Amino acid sequence: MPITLPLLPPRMYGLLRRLSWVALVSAALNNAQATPWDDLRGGLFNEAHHTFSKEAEAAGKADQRGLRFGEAVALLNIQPRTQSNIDKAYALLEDVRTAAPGDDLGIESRYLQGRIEQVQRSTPDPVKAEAIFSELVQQHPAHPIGQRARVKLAVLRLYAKTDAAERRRRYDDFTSGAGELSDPGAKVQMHLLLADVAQRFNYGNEEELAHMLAADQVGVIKRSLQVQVLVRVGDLARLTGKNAMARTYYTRFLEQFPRTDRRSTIEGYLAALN
Amino acid sequence: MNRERLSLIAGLTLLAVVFASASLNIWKRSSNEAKPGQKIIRLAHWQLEPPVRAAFEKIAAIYMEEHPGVTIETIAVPERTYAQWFMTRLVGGFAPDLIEIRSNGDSALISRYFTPLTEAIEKPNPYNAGTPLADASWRNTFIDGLANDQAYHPQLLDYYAVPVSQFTNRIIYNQALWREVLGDTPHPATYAELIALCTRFSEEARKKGRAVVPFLSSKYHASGVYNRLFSSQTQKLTEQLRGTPLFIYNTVELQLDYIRGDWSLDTPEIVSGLNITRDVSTLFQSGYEQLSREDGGFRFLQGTALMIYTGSWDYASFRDQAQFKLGVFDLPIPEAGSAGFGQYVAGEPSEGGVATNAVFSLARQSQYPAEALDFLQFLTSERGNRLFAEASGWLPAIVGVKPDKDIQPFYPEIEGVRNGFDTSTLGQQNAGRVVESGRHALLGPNGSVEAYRTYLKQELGPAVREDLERIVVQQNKVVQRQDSVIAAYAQLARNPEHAAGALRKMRENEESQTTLETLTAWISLNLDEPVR
Repeated sequence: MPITLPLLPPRMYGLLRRLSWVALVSAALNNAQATPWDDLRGGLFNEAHHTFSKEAEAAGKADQRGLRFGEAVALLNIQPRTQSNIDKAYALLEDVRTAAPGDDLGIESRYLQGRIEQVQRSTPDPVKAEAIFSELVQQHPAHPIGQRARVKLAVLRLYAKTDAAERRRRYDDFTSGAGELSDPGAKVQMHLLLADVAQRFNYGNEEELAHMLAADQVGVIKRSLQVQVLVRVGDLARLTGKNAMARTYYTRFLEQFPRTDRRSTIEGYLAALN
Repeated sequence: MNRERLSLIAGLTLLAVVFASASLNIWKRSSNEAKPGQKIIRLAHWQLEPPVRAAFEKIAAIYMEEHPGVTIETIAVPERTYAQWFMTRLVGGFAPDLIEIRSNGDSALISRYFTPLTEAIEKPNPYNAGTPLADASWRNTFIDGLANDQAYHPQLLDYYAVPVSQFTNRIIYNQALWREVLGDTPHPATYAELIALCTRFSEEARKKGRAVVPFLSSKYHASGVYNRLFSSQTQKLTEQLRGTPLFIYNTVELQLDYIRGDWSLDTPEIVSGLNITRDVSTLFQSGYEQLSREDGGFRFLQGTALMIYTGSWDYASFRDQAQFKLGVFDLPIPEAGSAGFGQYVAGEPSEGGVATNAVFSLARQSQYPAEALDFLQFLTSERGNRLFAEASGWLPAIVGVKPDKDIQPFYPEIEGVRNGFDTSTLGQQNAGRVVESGRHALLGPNGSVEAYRTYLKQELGPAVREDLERIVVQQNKVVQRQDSVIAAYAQLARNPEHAAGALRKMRENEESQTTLETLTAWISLNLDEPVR
């Protein structure tokens, strides 16, 4: 049965609607920092670390693993950043990992150990990072973390100092492996990464286009990257003579991002393509 | 009464007046706070221009009338001390609820002290009920869909601010002086016509014995002129360098292309950009580089110049203070295809990339975040923004809100080609400082394009390398931070109630992180040796 309101002047309905909105927003805003994970996602690393440490000390041994993992994640970014904090995070992750290496937390701990070697230390160790990510790719190829490790491995291998032939061989390997990725996040990242490599190292418009299309088909989330993909696919399709595809992507771009300083140029291209 | 005694009395009286005024101010605030059930929202900004200041106060008054129980206090702080003022307040824990922020740059500061607005941004603004915007997300009610780094933090990947306006630059001229000296001469449509008009104006004014200049400028106002004309010279260069005119150069990409040798100080378009910069500077009054922004505006209002090139933010206060009528037209660029500067021009530049601006953020320490957010939604609703635009004389930021007819000539022109880059695209760090500090070699009676190019050839390379090395360090910090944030979203995604939203944010962060990591790796590779 629909709820009926007593007859009120129209302005009062507006007021009531706004008051209910204020109450809802108030609840949402006050609830924003509900857990230390919420603190972490919001960048409040010191606060999150304090909560995780305190809760870990109070918790029984059986419940400590997730809290120690959280403590390690927070330690990576608490201010001031120190080498001893990074070492402590690595050690905590090692404890979490060795307790159950094959479960989600164990796999994610190993992944973060790889990230510590790759980017978190003041002097990164790409060799160690590559070894950890290779191990994850081999042992957990279907796990989302194993697939994210493959993306990070691609960053290390494709941008390493090496000769042109070796870089191209690595690019071809990652390109053929990209089809095996099932995690949508990892798949999009891998194709965007390979498209950039194709463009930066001059592997040709067809190569770049194929990766851009693959990323778009899975679905890019970040808006600025969506813009980039739509315009770039339109451009690459136009430059490689795929007129129907160019029309589709240019049109999608103008529909989704109507206010742009690229509008007149793209409308000119569309007129020529038609 | 002797003079000394008079000074003493005057001084003491002044002191007493200041003390009484300050006490009254404090008493008024205390009495507001003492009202039971009264919720006080403070909004801080640096817009001291009288119409803009009055506009904020007017919107606050309307809101308070419709929301008994909420008091909106607006606090206008001079721009020069604004940053220190609000930082002190943030750190001290007594910040205003809503704060105008200039730059969304420092992610640690933003995430610690401000509330992300993303959740609210993706829902309709309740104050748009009954309008054509009723069902649109709050984000899509802004003319640019908030696709700008002022509202959306590019590293935190959340919306932290909402804008109330947008800004463009135009030439504002003195209509009376125009008529007196130039008669019914139409506005110049090309750069060549502008030069001819300024030359003619100077000659006619001299004949009439008038001490007036055609094109008033200052260090501040000149940079806008330089950027607009320089960027007209690089419109075609972008396509040459990147294979498409649709590519958007940012600081990193432009600096990278410089150290990779894709463009240099010998590139014809760059040389032409420097030539047109020197050329236009000869139209300005002598000594313009020593003039501040305020002094430039003041001299124009005194009627000593025909025109000035400035932003839409100045228009309303100029209009209110000037003793003459104002006219507005756009600074013309060289005609596409014409000889000389026109050979590098593709067409009139589009202003479709003009972002919404003058953004306000919600402080985490606000006692009444829901009410503060509610006021922000009121201010940026169709009705609120219309009232604000009318009162302030600024351009509106909301879809469907028509600008006041006086300000209409400033409204962004979407039609046109993508503009090129200018020297400001090199950023504000070492490369930007090199470009600025050596400009005297280009301008003035003793300057020359050759002298400036020689200077830049020596200084720009090392400065760009230093900037890129710094960018690598900064981007690494963002990447490091994102590891913790991504891990947090992965854990939050395990809660079925929040799984979809958390997974989406996790993927957004991962896409951003991988893009940033590969760009950082690409910069590092090229810093060692340009990759071909």
